[in-house]
Amino acid sequence: MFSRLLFSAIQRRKLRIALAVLAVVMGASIASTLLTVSFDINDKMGRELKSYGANILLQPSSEGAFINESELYKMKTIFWRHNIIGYSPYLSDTVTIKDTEIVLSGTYLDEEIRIPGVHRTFIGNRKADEKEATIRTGVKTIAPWWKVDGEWPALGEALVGVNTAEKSDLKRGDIFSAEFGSKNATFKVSGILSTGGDEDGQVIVSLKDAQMLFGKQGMVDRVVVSALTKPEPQEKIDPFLLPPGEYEIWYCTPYISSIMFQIEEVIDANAKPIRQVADNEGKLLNKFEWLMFLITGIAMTSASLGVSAAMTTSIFERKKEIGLMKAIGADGYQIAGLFFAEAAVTGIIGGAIGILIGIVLARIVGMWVFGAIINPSLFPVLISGILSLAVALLGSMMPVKKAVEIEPSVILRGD
Amino acid sequence: MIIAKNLVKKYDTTCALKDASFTIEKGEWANIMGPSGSGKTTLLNLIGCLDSPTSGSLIVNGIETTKLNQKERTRFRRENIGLVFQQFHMIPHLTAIENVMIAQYFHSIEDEKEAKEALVHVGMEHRLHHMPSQLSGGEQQRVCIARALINQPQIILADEPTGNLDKKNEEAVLEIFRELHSEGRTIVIVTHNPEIGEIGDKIIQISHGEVKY
Repeated sequence: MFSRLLFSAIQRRKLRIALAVLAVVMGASIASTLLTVSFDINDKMGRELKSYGANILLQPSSEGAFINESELYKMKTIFWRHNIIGYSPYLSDTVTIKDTEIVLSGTYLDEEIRIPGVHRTFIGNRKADEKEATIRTGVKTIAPWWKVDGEWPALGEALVGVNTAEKSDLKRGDIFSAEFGSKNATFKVSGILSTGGDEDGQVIVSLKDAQMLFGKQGMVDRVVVSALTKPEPQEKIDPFLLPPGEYEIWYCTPYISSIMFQIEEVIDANAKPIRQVADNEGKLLNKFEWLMFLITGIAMTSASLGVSAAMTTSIFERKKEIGLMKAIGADGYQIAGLFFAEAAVTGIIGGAIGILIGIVLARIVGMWVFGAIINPSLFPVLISGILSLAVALLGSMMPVKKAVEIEPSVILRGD
Repeated sequence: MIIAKNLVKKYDTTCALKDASFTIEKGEWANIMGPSGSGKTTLLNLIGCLDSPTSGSLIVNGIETTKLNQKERTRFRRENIGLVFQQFHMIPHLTAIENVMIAQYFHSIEDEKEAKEALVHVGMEHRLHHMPSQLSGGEQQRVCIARALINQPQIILADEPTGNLDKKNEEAVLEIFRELHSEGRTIVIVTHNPEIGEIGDKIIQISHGEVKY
């Protein structure tokens, strides 16, 4: 009888139920989209944020010293090596170009670096390939926003910052001489560089050319590193004071501090966070997550109000029927059970449709915003399903309370 | 069986029932009569535990019903009272037999065979699976009587049960009530109809909320 009452009530009020289902579909699809994106995107967004700059700076361990260029590959051998997206070493000094003192920096533009050892790939447990490990790194990787009007420089060529080009009247194809003490080198302008930063007032050449000019082969004065990190806890951590268990957890978590610690273990240099970028990155990811949860909350609250409105109308229309059921013996629990079951059906149907729409939307958002496919995972689907059911039931609470309070005497009073 | 003492029911400032006192014995047929708005339905609501009085005492089947809370009143009603309404009041989306079985469902468990027997008893064996909209007024009222009887209540309360019926159907319905009365059930009918008034054992006359009998 329960199922007969339930389904005949649904069948007779298709439009009302459809409206309630629609409210749940909208809430569930938004929740499902945002939760799927939120769960999958942290890593993807981290990579996106990395394109806005490096977050670790390596400096020589003592005043006047340099970092050995040949040691830099070791960054790709630490525990969190896969989180090191790229690095770019710099060697800078002031040179004289056309009687003007200008900073000339040598760096990796897009360098292939060999990592000693072999790189193995596997299919299941079977080794599929084994080759020498290499990475490509340089400013093209860690500073993709650099805009070059012309070509990236080869050996003997230079990028001239947009301000320097204007000040020194240098154009693409021009050849200029840079003097450093008694030495000098000639470069051809391959392109004009705009970064919106200090580089606009500098000349950028390959690291080898700069080392040759400054007479510092194999040496660099700083390295900027781009690493995928997780926001640090608020309190400052001193790894040497941590108990062994906590130290393990800290070491095996991609905090910027633990990655810097591991870099310092393999390279003779001091690692410093580039605070602004690192902090903002963590804060932005946290804000993004909160924004997702906030929008999900608002969407679900709206869905709940939609269900509540549809259910209130339904109960008002069925006032006599409820009064009759109570008059012939239904108690409050039986009445509430009927309406909550109706709400649960609404939540389940709306939730299922909404989740399917959400999965499709998440893929579209992933492709559109992050250029990556976002695959559905069980956790957001489960959460969205539970939320859909919960909003349908919560939205029905007040109307069901009113239904339970209907006096059976309405039948005899003829209200 | 039903003992009312100084029963008062007030709706805000309106006093619908004033100091009503009467007794209806077990197996008696009592008709509550009076003009419109005199308080007949209010009195029936109180006896059927559909409403609670403002003050006074009402003992039904040995239970002081004025002391019951809403949940207890519901339980008491489904165990002891069968209700028949003037407007029939069937669930429009259930068939005749389902309208009887719903009372079983709210009471305990459904028994289709028993529901069918109840409908046969009121002469509705040919309309078991018809929807209310496919039944005449008299047929709907007979289904409602079957529903009122399905849980074997001791007391049948009816509010103008023949008010919307033609002469032929009125007679058929009254015949069922006569039969129930002869089986020993207590019957309380609210009616305007003097012919029904003559059938019963007792008339409780109400005027402006005051009982005279």
